Amino acid sequence: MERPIKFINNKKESLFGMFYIPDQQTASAKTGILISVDSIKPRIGTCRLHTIIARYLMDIGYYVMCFDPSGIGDSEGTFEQKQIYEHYCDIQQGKYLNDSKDALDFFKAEFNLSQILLFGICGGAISMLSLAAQESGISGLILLAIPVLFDGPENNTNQDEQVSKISSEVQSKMIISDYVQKLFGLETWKKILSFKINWILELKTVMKAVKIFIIKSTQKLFRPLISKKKLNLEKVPVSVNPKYNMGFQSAFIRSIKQKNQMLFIFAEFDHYTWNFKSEFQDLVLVPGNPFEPFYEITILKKANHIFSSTETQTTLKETLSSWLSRKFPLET
Amino acid sequence: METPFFLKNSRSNRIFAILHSADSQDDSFRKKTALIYCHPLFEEHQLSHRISVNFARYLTAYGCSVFRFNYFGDGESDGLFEDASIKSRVEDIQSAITEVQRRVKPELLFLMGLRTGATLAMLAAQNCQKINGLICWAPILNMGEYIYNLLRENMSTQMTVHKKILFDREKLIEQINQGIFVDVKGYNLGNPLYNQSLEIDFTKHTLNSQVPFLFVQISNMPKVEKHLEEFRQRHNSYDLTIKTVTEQKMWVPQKMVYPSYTELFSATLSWIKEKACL
Repeated sequence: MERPIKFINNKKESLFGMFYIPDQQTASAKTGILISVDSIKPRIGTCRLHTIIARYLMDIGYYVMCFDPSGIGDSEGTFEQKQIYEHYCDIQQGKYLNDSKDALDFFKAEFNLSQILLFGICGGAISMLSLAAQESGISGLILLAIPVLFDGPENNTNQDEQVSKISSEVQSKMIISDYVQKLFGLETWKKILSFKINWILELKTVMKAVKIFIIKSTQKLFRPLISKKKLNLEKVPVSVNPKYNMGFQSAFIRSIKQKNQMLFIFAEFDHYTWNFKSEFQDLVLVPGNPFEPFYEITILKKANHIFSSTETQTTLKETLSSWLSRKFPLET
Repeated sequence: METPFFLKNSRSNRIFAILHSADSQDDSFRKKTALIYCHPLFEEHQLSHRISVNFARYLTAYGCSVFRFNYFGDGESDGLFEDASIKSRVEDIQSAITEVQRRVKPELLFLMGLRTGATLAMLAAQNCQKINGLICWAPILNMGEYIYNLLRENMSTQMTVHKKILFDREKLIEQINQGIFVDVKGYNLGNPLYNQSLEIDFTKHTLNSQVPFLFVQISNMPKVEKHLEEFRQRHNSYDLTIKTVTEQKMWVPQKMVYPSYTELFSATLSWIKEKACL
């Protein structure tokens, strides 16, 4: 059953949401999953993904709540006029934290849940991780395409924006390999000879990729393996990238300390995947690290940042179902 | 007061809706007035959502109730996107009209839409005696052309995934006609939506409705676009007003979000007030 809801936040604003209540309420313990908005779009999610996932989770027996924070979707509140990347940075720094806490309290009070998991995509993922880090009583996290770098100000052209997104070793290797392959392709030479190549963009892209590759490879050679004993991961960033969001790292560590189970899901065709890998996973989540019992990482093949295709969503549902049945099975 | 709820459409599916009830009658609305908003399709719905909410609250403050809803297959209504058609969406608008008349009992009822929502509103307004005015923000007059151009999105995705185009537009259309869905930026495009869209072309056909209607062109061009001007000429005996506003296109991703859309809102409100016989 789906029930539209309204509740009041800490600023006395009405926030809108939806409860997804499983029909088969045979489980002795109720497990709830709170879904955050992904960015500045409403609670149904990009391409309606949140609604699709919420309905699926409800069908397999979990209580689900989606909601719009203040100023978003149907909820009251003002939406401040800003550059989009500024909104993203605000979200990554905890803009939705208070409303998410209010939503969590409302959800718990309504159903007397024995376990609560938090679910988010992109900006929603970092919002939920931040919430879990400060709240006791959260059992698990499902985090899709979580950003670890702040979005920067957009440069003058969209082309510069694309170049600026190259930040990880894997990404730069893919780009360099792609260019080398293209050099041996007839189509490329046809474009070159007919002056259809944007030389400035191509050169900027290759040079940035090579630069990043050299920096990251050098860091790997000279940087010692990060160990818990040598670095206070809650306070000292592991990445030297100036755009690195330390808030992500400290929230991760605090969530680990609270023994939250985490499922990271990434998309193959998403630079956020490779940012996570190069700025955090390769530096902290190395084989044998002490956090291994608390997280799993899955990369969905052929998926994009918004997990939009039917095939991807089928795989996503299977991944969720498998992880939930292992970590948070519904007891009857 | 804003009330979210589900209603049943003519096929007994649940349709999600929110009614923004006007708290008081503004002096400028002599008659009890309500408006039904029809959202656009695909991700344009999500991108423009907050503007529709802001507009609903803007109108409500002036004394006009507003009803927003999701078509079957969209938003929080039942069903999958690919299972809905032009026909089902028009039927949902008709269900919305019935519901508003039941709940609000307005003396005047306006139907409004943005982009493909405006197109659907135009279709619903045809042969409908229950509405008193039609408002179209940036209407899509040639739905077939719009849907055809969307196939480009699928080809862009093919380039990203496969580094080449495996299926060109003609092959994609062939797939659709064989009953295979084509992914368009996260939405499954297929039949009957595709074929029904090809039949809608208000650049050639005449709107079969005599209600007053307002077209609002939203762009940075003050001059009325050619297709709207041609529509006006073909409908020169109709009560048609075309206004142009210089505002950001809220249905596409923008770098600056969200401006207040004051010009758009006030232009629309002033027309509604004018038609509400002030």
